[in-house]
Amino acid sequence: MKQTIILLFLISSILFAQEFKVNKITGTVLVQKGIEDSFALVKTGDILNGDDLIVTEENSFIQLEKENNRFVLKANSALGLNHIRKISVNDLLLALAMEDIRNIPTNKQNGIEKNTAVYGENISTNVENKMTINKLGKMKINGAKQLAENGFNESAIIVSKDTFRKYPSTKSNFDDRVYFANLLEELNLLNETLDEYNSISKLSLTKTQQTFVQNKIEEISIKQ
Amino acid sequence: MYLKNIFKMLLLLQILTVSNYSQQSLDIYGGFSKLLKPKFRLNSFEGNAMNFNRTIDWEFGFSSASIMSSPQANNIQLASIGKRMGSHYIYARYTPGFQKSFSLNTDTLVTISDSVNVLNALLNYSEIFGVGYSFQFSNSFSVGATFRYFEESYAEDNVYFYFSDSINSIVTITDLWEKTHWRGDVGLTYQPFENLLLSLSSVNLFILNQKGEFNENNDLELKTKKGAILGIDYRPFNNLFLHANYESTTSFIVGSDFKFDMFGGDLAFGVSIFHDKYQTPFITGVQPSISFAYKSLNINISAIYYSEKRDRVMNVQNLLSDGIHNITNNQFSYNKIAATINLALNFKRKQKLKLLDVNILNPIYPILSEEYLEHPFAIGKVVNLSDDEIVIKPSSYILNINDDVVSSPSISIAPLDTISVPFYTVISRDFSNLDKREIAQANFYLTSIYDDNDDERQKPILINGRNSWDSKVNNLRYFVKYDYIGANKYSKKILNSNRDSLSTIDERLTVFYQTKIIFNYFIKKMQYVSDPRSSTEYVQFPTQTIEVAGGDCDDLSVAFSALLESIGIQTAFVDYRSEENISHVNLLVNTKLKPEEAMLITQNDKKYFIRKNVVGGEEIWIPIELTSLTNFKTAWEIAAQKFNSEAIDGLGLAKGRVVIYDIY
Repeated sequence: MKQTIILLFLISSILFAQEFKVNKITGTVLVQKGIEDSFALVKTGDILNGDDLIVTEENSFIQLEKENNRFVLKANSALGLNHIRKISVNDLLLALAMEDIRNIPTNKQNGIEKNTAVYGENISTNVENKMTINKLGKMKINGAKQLAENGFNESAIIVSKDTFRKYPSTKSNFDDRVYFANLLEELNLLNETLDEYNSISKLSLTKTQQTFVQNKIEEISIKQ
Repeated sequence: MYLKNIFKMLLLLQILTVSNYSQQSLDIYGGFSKLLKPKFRLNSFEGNAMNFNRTIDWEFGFSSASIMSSPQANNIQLASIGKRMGSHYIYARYTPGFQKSFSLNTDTLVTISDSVNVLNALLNYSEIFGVGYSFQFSNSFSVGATFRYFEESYAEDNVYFYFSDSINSIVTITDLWEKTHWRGDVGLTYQPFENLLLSLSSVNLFILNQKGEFNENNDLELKTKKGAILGIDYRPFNNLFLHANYESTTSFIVGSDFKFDMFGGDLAFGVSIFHDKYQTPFITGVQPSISFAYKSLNINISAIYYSEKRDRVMNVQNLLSDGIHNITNNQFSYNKIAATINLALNFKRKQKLKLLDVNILNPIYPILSEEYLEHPFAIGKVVNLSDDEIVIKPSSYILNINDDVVSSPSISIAPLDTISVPFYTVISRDFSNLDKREIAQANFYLTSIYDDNDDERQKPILINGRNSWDSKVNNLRYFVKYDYIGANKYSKKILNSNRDSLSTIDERLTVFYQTKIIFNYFIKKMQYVSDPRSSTEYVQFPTQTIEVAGGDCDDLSVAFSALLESIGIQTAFVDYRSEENISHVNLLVNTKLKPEEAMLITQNDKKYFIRKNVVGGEEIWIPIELTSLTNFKTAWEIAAQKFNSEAIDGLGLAKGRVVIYDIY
């Protein structure tokens, strides 16, 4: 192990090298730079990096430009700029496979979980944070949809999967789930589409929704 | 190819044929095919001068026969002993039953006074004993020689007249002529194929050490004409055996045997017909037989039934014209039934298994003791030399590493098969004195479960020092687990000193803050130091890192992981593998927070990752970079940025360039 941290940062910087210029802004648009916790206001003419997260509030939008290509993020949306890119279906499949790779292998013991000590008093979750996390999750789903509208279907699916996982409340939105399941179907990824509909069928659904999902499952099963 | 050899043998037979003699190759033991050896043992020199036996060690034989004469006579035919010594086989037999006597009525009466005496003559032939030696050049070719000792006697009553001055008398006196000699023969067997065996042996090749003679009655002496016997044994099908012996006098014996499994042994039936030039009719007789072989024991019952009825009284001219060429099979022999028992005793170990070679897969790393329970450290190549399926128990012993011989799982090996056998080992817990690498001898043993037959082999093996590491990040966990007690003391000491601050936090953040507090305390004492050795990977145990207050990324990650794991905080190594073969290790820590609780620790979702635990629950894991040597926040952010860029966005996890190894 003769590596240096400097080299690691170099590799990282290459990946995030893409830059976006802010062409136009209406309303309030915030940016979360890299891995910072705080948000800052975005101004016209700002240069944003690939690892920045853009958040548009009510009645706001932002127009970005990169190499003469323009991208507009509408109101009530959040999007990591590194997702505004075309990726291959193969890379999409790899990204989907990572969902399982990240998990703890089921054939291994789950570490040492003997610690029963309790330190301090039980403080309830901050309501404001709860609201924020739900809101940000929904914004990210909106951002993912706009990726799809601009032809970045593969990136949209990746963002949606990550959002559903990190913001569990977004997983229960039937329309959003079906929207991204349809994107998978459009890419002819039938196995993945079927998995998604099977997952959707486990949600608390209305009768109409259940019928729709069952019909989709049958339809895709026949196609396979 | 072998047809040519047969032709050569027939030609040799003609050359050896210098005179006629009677059939020699008929034995009393059933005439079984030589291909049935060694289970169905042949005590016979008669058609098998070579007589090599593949018995393992000692062999004892005993045969008794019932002669269907009138009255019926029972006698011991043979007692034999044989021993094999590698490629050498020696054999000796005592043959009290190989005897033939004739009472000759001279039709001469002597009347003295009022008594009448009949003058008799008694002729006796005996084969007393024999010895044999054979040598096996290869599995397919053997040669041998036999020597048999014969006695013969002729006693004849004669009338002698004595004249003197006082009295004239007539006296009947029995005159006795005795003769002894040795017969020597040589033979060979050649087995070009598994199902074909050819044999060639001489008849009366050497007549040695002759003593005595019958003088004017020499027509009655045992005939010792020279000749040869060619034998062919063939197995056309698995259980069917055909055999034939052709003698240079045109005598022959042909037969077949059928063998099948029964009662855990082998049962064989056989029948032969034979023709002797000096006996009538053309098919002189038939020889049925049955034999059962079980392990080292073989029991055989056979009969010889002559086609022609044998008269008790025959004209002496018959005897004088043809003579006696064979004591046990001649024109005066009676039907007989013989029972033979053979017992093979093995007083030495027969090697059934051979360890051809052992391939040591990797040097020994003492720290990887658990790995050696799951993965073999060496693979042996083993051949089963026997005809039986054997269950073998491999084991090994490495000096200074094992307390005792370590057994590996048993494995079954088919007859004559060659397989790979894995050897596992158990590293002695006390390897703390292994400061540096050394060469040790590894002993590998093979033992069959039902027998003690075994083989062993010794190979040198490299034993690494206690801190040596095989460069597999997955195996860093063994360094983590090495000293939980020391790590636990260290962590608890830190947490105890921060009890007040910990008591005020949200219970759900306990793991997160414990991690933060221990990290900040631990890291401020550390310095980044490269490996002290360049030739091999060297990883410090957690307490060593704390003692020397420094290390490289492996040492620091191992130490911090141990501090957390020892108090129940789950960690995982992240192995970043670059194309330049430069790799890096940092840690993931399980905060035990649920995804919806993420905002309790950060507003930025790029700083954490969701992993499902073994029961399907989703938990937040955060990455930590130990080599940053700064504070917790910075170590977290640096690691998060790296994980995002390489593992997630760069698809490193999917492409295998980034691997997560859980510590379990």
